[in-house]
Amino acid sequence: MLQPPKKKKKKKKKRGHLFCNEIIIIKYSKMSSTNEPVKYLTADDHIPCKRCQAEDSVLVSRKEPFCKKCFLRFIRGKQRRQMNHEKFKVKYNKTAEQPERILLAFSGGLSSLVLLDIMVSLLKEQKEMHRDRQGFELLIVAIDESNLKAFQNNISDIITSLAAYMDFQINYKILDINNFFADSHLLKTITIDEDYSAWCSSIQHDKTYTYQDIVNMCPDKSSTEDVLSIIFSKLLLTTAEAESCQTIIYANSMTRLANEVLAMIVRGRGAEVHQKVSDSVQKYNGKEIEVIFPLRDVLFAEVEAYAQLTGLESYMLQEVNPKSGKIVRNMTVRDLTTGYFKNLDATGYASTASTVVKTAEKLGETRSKQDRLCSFCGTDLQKDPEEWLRNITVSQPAPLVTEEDHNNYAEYLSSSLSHHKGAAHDQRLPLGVCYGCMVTLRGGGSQANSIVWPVAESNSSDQKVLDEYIISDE
Amino acid sequence: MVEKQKKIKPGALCELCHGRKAVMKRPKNLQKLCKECFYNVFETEIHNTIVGHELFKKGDRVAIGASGGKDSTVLAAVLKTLNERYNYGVELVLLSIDEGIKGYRDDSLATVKRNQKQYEMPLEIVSYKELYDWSMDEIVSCAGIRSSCTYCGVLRRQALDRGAAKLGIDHVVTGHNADDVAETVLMNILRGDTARLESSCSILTQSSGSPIKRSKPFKYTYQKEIVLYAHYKKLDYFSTECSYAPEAFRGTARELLKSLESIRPSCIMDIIYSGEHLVLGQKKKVTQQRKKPNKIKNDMEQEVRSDGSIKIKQNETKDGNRCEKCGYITSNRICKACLLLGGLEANRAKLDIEGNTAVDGAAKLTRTLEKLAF
Repeated sequence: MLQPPKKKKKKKKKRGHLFCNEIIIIKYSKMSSTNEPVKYLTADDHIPCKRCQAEDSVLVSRKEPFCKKCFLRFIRGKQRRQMNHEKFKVKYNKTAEQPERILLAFSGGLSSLVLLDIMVSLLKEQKEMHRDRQGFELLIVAIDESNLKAFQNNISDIITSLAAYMDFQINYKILDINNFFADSHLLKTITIDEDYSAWCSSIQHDKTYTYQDIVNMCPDKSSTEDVLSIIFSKLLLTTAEAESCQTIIYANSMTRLANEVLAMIVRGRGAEVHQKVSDSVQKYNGKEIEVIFPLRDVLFAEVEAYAQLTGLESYMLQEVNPKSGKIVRNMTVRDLTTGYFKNLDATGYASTASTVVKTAEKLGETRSKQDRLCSFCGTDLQKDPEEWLRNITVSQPAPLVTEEDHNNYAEYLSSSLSHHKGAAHDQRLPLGVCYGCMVTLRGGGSQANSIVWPVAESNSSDQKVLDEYIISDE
Repeated sequence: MVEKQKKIKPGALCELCHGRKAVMKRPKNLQKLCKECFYNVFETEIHNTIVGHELFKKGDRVAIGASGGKDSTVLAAVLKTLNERYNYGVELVLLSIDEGIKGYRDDSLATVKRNQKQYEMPLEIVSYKELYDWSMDEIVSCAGIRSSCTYCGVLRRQALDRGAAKLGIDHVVTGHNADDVAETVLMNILRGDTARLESSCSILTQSSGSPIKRSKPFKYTYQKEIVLYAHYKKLDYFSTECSYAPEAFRGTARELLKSLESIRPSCIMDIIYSGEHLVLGQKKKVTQQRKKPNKIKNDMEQEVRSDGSIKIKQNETKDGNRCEKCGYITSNRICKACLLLGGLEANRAKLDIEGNTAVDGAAKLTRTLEKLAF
């Protein structure tokens, strides 16, 4: 009558015998031991690799000892599982319409080096097994950041020396970040007012804008960071479309994705989490581009181990003055969340990263979604973010009582401080901006702020018809 | 109240009224404000929250969960003010829980009693000891300090409901502020608590089975502003933290939130906004199909827990299920409080030393040490 439930539950039942407080005690004892996600072994340990049983292990990961070869294979397997779709495999019939093209977003960081190595090893294997055929073409795209920060080495040198090291022909493309602002007729000024309303006005003069100009308009470092990530993903999407790549792969590790989820929530972008963190299909100019994170099951500590074992570390892009901040005031939202996950790793809560990513994968679309997109970052607009903010941040003054107050107010009105408020606003149009961008554009303060940004003309089909057929409005 | 200085430079004036001297920076957005404008925005925001979510109806009797700490003291003060100013027509009652933590709760309850006189509200105190026959000090000495918050949290939730029921009130307001809500959003994500993810931000929790609803009028109110308000209004509150260890993991989230707030004050609101927009997606079809054949079989099975209770199957769980032992609302056969207490009872010392003070917790010891003089 009382059959044991499913196999899975059996395990749980076992734990159920413990009293609640016992479970808690177990959790804490686990925490106090410093169980780092990857533990390196020395030559004296002589623990045989659990997989091949032949060689000595070099490290312990996920409670299993690995030799070098088996560990690399294990990590490569993680990528294969994420990308086991038929379209990435070798096709023998030559009638296949278009070869599958994959764009690899390459930053020069450890994760992207590792992902590149894994992809190249996959291609090499395909060629070997299938008489020089390969299932897809790989295009490496890097964004040149050398005019943002000083680096010891340069990204195109890294790619060429990697190609020599891997003995493989690598196609690559390096983008200039200022390309984003190249289309000068799209550039508009976006203003977020003190009452959170967003406005768009055209720029009179024909100045060309560079990334540095935009950075100067950002209210703080966290905003700059957010703006930069919007630019990067937009540039990569544009490039994927231009280079007819159907897939973009990002090298973000599980730890990095978890970090991204947390950072997005802190920035007020909770509604986007489900789009940005799970593998998804994004539409761009009517084309569908798939975005995949092949390393989503790999912890950053494992990425580091992979890079160390293969010697890829030495190719990493090195900043001249890497951030060595301990001062919270100088940090950005992402610095803080990164530091948080690092601390968790050290205190033994390493599984948190996987919990966060798994939770984020379970999220879906909100019910308050509108059919419009944010003019700044391009995600779905939610209902009335500005109304939400106005309700919880009142900015009505208490009435002035004494004569002295009124005198002060009169003084204020005649002073220069009140003048900027009366500036002409007739040339500007209302704009739909999402909550996250509103926060980014204004920073944490109460002041209005403006930024120059390429704003696509309203892309509704009606507008296109009007634009095409109306010669003159009069 | 009125500043004595003759001329105030326009730059030093309050950024909202431009008529009085700015005396403070507002934690929410760093606006420089005068006292009057701060009171105005602080109270109006809470009023907007109450009206916008229709928390109160005319003639309602509402219990304020009062601990004597700054949040609940300010809550009582603000609700009294707003009730009179906007004529909500609600009757306010103070409801306190005595967890039985010597040296901590007895002092803070004294504060509540002073507040009761000042605000002229009735006060009801419900104690763990009389409700469960366990005080927190006894629980901690039996189960250890590490799990203190687990016990205390579960028991307090029930105690508040029972206290309200005793008073014949169906609505308890608590002093949870924006920082608490943001912290909870972060915790739910970090712990992967999908069951609470969507509802963690709701301002009013209510289930059809329970007659008592709870709400948080301070959901959008910053903790720092509550401190400032209490300071300027010279409110009488008790400002010692509970002497038992806070949950270790929650502590890490709290620390993160504090550093985030220092670089971007709006982030507490941003996190709440995010939290309000976290929605669970549809379950993927593949997994559902795979599970189906098993499910039919499972309907015949019943899981028996280690404590002898039988798990109610998911599809049978509905609002309004009652604990077999105490009749409290629960999703299982036995409620969490009874389960925890059952575990404690099994470990309770069979003998008691008369006049034993060893169970009195750390707080008592601290108080005694403070009073020592050479």
